[in-house]
Formats: sequence, C-alpha cells, structure tokens
Amino acid sequence: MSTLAVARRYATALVELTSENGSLESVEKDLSTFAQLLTSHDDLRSALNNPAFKVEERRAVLETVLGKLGAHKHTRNFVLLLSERNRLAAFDAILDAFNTQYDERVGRVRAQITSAKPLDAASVDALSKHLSHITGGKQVVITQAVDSNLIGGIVTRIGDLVLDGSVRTQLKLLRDKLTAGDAVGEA
Amino acid sequence: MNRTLLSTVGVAALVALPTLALAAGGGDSHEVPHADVGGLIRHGINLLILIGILTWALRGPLSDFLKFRRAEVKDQLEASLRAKEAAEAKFAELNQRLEGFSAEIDELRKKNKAEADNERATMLVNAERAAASIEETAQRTVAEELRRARRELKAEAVELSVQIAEELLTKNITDDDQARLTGDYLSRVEETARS
Repeated sequence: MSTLAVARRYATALVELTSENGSLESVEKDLSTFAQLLTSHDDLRSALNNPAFKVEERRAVLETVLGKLGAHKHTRNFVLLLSERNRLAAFDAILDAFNTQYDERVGRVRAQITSAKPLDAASVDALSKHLSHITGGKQVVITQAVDSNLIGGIVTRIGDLVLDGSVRTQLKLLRDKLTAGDAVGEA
Repeated sequence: MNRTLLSTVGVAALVALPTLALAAGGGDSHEVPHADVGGLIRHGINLLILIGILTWALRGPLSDFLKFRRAEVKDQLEASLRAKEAAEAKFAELNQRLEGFSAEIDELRKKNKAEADNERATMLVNAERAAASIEETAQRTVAEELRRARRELKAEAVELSVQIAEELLTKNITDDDQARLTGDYLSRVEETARS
C-alpha cells in the first residue's frame, strides 16, 4: 500500500474518532505543534525513526515530548500508535491528509502565498477575501513565504489551483512565446 | 596336316633330285667338262622341276599372303582416300570460315561497340542521376542546417534577452514596482473571484 493511502487511512480514522468525542480541534492543534517540533528538531525526528532505538525507548521519548506539549490524550495515543507501527516516517503525509479532511469538515481551505517581497497585512487580508470568494465563501488559512527568485509579484496555491502573477513566470512565458514564434516561422 | 607333309616331301625331293640327275649322267666326273649341252639341259630341267615344286608347295601360303596383302593395301588405300576426303572437307570448311572470318570480326566489333556505347550511356545517365541526388541531398542538408542554426541562434538570442531582462529586473526592481505588481495581482484575483 502506498504512503499516501496509508496516510489517508490513518487520518480518516483519527478525524472520525476525534469528531465523535469533540476533540478534533485540540488534536489538530496538537498535531500542528508536534509537526513544527519535528521540523525544527531534525535530531528528534531522526531518533524517532531510528530502528537502532528500542520501541520502549522511542515510546519514552514521545511520552516525554507530548507531555511537555500538553497534548490531548487522543493525540498522544495516535502518535504512540504510529511509533509502535513504525509509521512515524509518514507523519507529514498523515498530517496533510488529516488537515485536508479537517479543513473539509470545518469549511476552510489552505492557501500558500509566495511573494518576492514580504506582503503587508492589508494586501494579505485583501487576498484572503478574494480567495474566499473564489472558493465559494470558505475560510482561507494563509501560509506565507518569500522567494526572491520570483523577482516580483505573487504566486498563490490553493489545492490544485495556482494563481501565478510572478515576474519569473511572465519572463518564462515570454521566452516560450518567442521560441514558439520562431518554430512557427521556420515551419 | 597333309598339306604340310606334302610340302616336306616336295622340299626333300627338290634337294635329292639334282643329285639323282647328276648320278644318272655317268659318274665320269673326273673328265674335263666340255661344252656339255646335255648337262645344261639337265640343269635346266632340274631348275624347272625346282621351280615347279616350289610353286606347287608354296602356292597356298603365297596365295593367302597375296590375298591378305591385297586386302591390306586396299584397306589402306580406302583409309587414305577417306582421310583425304575428310581433310579436303575440313580444308573447305576452314577456307569457308576464313572467308567469313573478317565479316564475323567486323560484326563482333560492331556488337562490342554498340554494347560499349550502350553501357556508356547507361553509366552516364546513372552518374547524372547520382549527381542530381547528391546535389539535392546536399541542398536539403544545407537548408536544414541553416534552419537549425537560425533556430538555435534565435533561441540563444531569446534566452540571452530573457536572461538580461531578468538580471535587469532583479537589479532595478523597486518597492514601488513590487507594490504595483501586488496591486495588479490583487486586481486580477478579484476579477477571477467575480467571474
């Protein structure tokens, strides 16, 4: 079974369980915090995925970390289950699947906004409002990033939708158009 | 067998009879011979008898020999005649061929020349076709190479132009430009949202 399918299966089970007992929002926040922790601490991620450590040792580390995070018991049980079944390597994919299902349940979408320069709050708000219109009134959760390679402009990704207004892409389109024009002229 | 016996007796008689004839002459051999006509006659008779006996004794083999010899000579004559006729026929044939030989050589020369001319014409046509084909291929290749070179040159020019434009934009873009780009982007997203 592919990692994506496994992730989807675990995420579905967690969403259904936490929806039933009303802990969906808490678990979502816990998982998000835990994900940030893994991102910022590569040594922790390596240790949790290292088979040289015994299951009990990894479990002890996880319980300590999750205790300090004040994670919900369902979050704790879920992460420990992943560790016991050696599925922590697929944690990012599971979290993506969980977030997708969570967003669908609460009626919100995630947008990744990348710009050449940091955007001011007014521009982000305006963009969030327009994106909400585009997605049929859903709440838009925006994640921002700065990429100087864009030269200028903004690129927004919402699921499969990409709104590319970057100078880099404009230049690429211009180059493609000129090259295609040459090809047509030669034919 | 009888014939051989008779021949033997004949030969013996031939040896004995002259002696007997000499003895019948008187046996006075101590006398000086004079013109003895009788002796001559006896010798002549003896000679005739000898000839007759020889003729009689040898008539068979001699006849056979002569017959064989005649037949052999006849065969040889006939063979010579046939050889002569064959030689004459061969000579006539050769003579005839010799007469037609120069004509045959002329015909052969004409035929060879015609074939050579034909071959030459064929080679010429083939060479012209090959030359035309090579020329056409070369022209196509040159044209294709020109197109390719032009295409590559233009692609390089486009790439270089875009690269320069990118460098210039990166270097010279200002915060105002960024603000204007953001504004344009928001306007387009808003249009998208309304549509």
